[in-house]
Amino acid sequence: MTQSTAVQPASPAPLKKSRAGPILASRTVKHFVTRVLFALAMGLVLVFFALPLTWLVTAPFDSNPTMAVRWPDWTFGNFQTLLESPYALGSIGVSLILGAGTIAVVLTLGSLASYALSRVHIRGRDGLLYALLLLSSVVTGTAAMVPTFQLITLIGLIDTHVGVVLVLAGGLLPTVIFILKDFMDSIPKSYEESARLYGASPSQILRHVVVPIARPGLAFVAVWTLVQVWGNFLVPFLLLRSPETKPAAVLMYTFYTESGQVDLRLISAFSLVFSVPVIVLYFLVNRRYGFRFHGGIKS
Amino acid sequence: MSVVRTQDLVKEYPGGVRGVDGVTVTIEDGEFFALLGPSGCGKTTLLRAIAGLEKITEGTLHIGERDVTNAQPRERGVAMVFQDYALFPHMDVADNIAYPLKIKKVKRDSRRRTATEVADGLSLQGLAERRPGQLSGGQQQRVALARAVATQPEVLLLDEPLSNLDARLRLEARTFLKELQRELRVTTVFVTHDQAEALALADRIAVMKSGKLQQLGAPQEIFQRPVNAFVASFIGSTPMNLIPTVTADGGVVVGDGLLPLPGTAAGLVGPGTPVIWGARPEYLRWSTEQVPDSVRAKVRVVENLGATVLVSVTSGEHNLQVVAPEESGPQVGDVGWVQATSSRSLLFDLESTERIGVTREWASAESVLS
Amino acid sequence: MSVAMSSARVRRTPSRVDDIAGLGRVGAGLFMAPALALIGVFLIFPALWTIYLGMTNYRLTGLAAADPDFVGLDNYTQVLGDSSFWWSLRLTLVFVVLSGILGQMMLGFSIAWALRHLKGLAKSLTETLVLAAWVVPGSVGSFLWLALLDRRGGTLNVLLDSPGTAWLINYPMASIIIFNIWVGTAFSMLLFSSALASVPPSQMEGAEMVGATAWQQLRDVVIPNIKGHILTNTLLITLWTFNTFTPYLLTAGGPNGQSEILAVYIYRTAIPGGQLGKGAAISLIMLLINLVIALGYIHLARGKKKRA
Repeated sequence: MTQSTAVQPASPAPLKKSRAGPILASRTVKHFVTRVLFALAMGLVLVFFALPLTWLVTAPFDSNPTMAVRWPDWTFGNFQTLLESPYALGSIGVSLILGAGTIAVVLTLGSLASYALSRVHIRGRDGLLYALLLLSSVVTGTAAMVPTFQLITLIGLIDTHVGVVLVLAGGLLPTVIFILKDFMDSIPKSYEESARLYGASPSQILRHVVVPIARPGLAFVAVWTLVQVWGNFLVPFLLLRSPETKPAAVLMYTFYTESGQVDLRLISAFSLVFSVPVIVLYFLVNRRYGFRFHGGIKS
Repeated sequence: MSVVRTQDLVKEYPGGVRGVDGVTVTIEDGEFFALLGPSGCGKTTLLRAIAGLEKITEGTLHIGERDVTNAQPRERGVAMVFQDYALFPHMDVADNIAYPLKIKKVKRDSRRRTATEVADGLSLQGLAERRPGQLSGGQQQRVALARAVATQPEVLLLDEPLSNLDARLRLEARTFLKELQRELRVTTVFVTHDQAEALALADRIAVMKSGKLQQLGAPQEIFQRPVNAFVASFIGSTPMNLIPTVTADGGVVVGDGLLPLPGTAAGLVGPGTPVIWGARPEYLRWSTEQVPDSVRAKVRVVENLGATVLVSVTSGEHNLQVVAPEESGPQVGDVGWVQATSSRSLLFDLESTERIGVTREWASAESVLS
Repeated sequence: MSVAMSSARVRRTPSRVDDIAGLGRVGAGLFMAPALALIGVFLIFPALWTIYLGMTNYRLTGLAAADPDFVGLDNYTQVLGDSSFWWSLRLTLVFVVLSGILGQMMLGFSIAWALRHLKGLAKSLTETLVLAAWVVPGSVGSFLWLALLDRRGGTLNVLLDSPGTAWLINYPMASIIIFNIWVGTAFSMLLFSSALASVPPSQMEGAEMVGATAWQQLRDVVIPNIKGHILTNTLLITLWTFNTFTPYLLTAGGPNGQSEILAVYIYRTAIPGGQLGKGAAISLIMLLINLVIALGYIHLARGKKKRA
């Protein structure tokens, strides 16, 4: 080892004791300034995100809401107005119906397909899954809006909830299958093996053994689907004409574009009521599962 | 001079938990020093405090003459090798070794030269272009060491340097590490939970438990004269026999009979005192015939250790373990005698678990020094 | 007889360990059929059909609605020669780069980096607010920004004391870009948060020990370690920003097409404009662009999985 006799090119600088004073002071000052700048930057970020949201929590409770955020003249009266509005609550009901319908289709078809994909070794299975992923990434609502509109019109489902549900379900299924297959993969196979030994048929195994165990995964998918459907604007906007069929997402838009005089009391209350369910759901799911599946595409 | 000195060092976490609770040690220049203890004892926290990765709550830390209690890691003149080596996966070996020099703004040629020298010194020739992922565990360790010594630190810190290696490799690496430290003569502090490793490598060992220092001394001393029952049971490849019992006239009640009073406790306890009697299985003798200073026992379990066997016996209400040569071949169910000696057994206070005789030794050591 | 047959059938069940439920190929096929059928009809078919539709002169109303003609590549040549198409495409590119890559990703990363050592109130407050912007339904979010930017009484004008400034009319692109950043940053923040957490702390500490500054640690340790995440995030953000329709709710492409990103351009051509054939042609172009981006993402995701 030549280390001990080698010439050292640049050894660690010894602490310059003679200049320790000013160095220390300038370091603390720099440290302090950095801290202040950091706090300032974070403050700006917080304001950026909070500012638009503030209206959502002040205006609904304001007896005379303005476009600007202001300290409200506290009242619950706007919710009364909401109840009296002809289409408002109905549209939230429609959102629920669309959500429930899509969930039903997606869970049924999705669990069947993902179970088969998980349990049976089909040649090209991985290829199929990636093709599905590719498909759902490429054929977005926006890119396919024209042919979808045409198709639904042609098969006579325009202006129906069924049409909307089918289109939404078709778009969500690939991701759902992806997610559910993962859940299914992680279920120990021993349960099914013993059921099989007792003579159960595949569909019985699926219903009696797999589904109960996969319930958390199914619940997660149901919630995720609801959130996707709840906020979806384009598909119902495209396919529904009559005002009483429109879900909240679309009605919200027509409130401030089509109904002439903008009634902020109604809009504010409606916005809040429309937003709260999905905010609550999102945070409940986050508690449980964390944001592993953000946006539906696993990262 | 790179003496590392801590004085009543405390590391307290929010919530009041003390990772290191008032530790005072002086690590001599050029010493190979071990921090040993079970997980959670504070040894890694102490190492990280010396490194500057943990802020010291109370107490002081000096490296050489300088007070570095509040200094940044880069100002302390220390280098550290992490348990997982922390090699940058995207840099090749040469760049990894040269990285600290790059940060110190050493010119490219100069730092490349140093990196090559250091690498050669650690038998890493020809691996300069490789990525860490292409190296074996032992090679990765040596690269991490090279990076640490490339800056010629005053103090070298090693966090469980051998635990990531396979058992076979570990022994080789152990010898390698000992030689390296001797050549470099840099003050080295390493953390381990493996007592055999500490005994083999260190010049001195600090045994820790629950953030506090239990005993500080050379390996031989810790092994033969542990300061309390914890240290006694922690050190040694086979667990020391520790029997709560009472003294009697002429000895200690163990099992069916009486075993000699340990020499280190002579004159310090009277008969009928509750104590803990301790003896290492290696220092007990199994005999098929009755011999002096022994108790009668029956064999319950026999474990093969290669050249020896570990025999678990029961005598009265006490269970003992004895290491016997393989040829003596006791079988389960055999009856025989366990012999102990006064020079190779110890006595501990039942309540405080401190070894009886410790204070007398320290007092006499002090009187020698004064 | 039947007993022998059924037992023979049982004995012939697949010996593959994978097929526990005894579905067999046929059974699996049946299980997958309904889902695949739905996907086929409502996802695959429209995508392929648009090629054909783009070659017709379908209209929303009038003669060509009931009885369209086949016009070959006329729509495509028309679209590619239409300056408003290229204008829209250019706007979309600007939108994706400024709002997606530079906006959401950089902001998301910065927030994740700033929060990495923080705990408790500051961290959860920031994350909650950023997330809330994403979670709020699109039509509500866009109205919140309409209210903020309102020329007469919007909060922004109140705060800046600039009454009468019509942000949406004078700065339409800036408005939708900033709006989209507000909506989408949460995803990048979460992704980078977990990416940063996956950087081995010992490497960071190793760099810290040799004196690397925070910036040097970022350059030498963090970014090389999360290169894969950065790449996949870029592609995902590009894809999503390219396809988002929500800016329509804010400016409807106006004024005068100044914020008419491709999504809005397609919609306005096909529905208010009534030119379904032409709209289909543009849709095909959009599908192809999506395909390129998505293939890039899949390629990277597969590479990551193989290496994992």
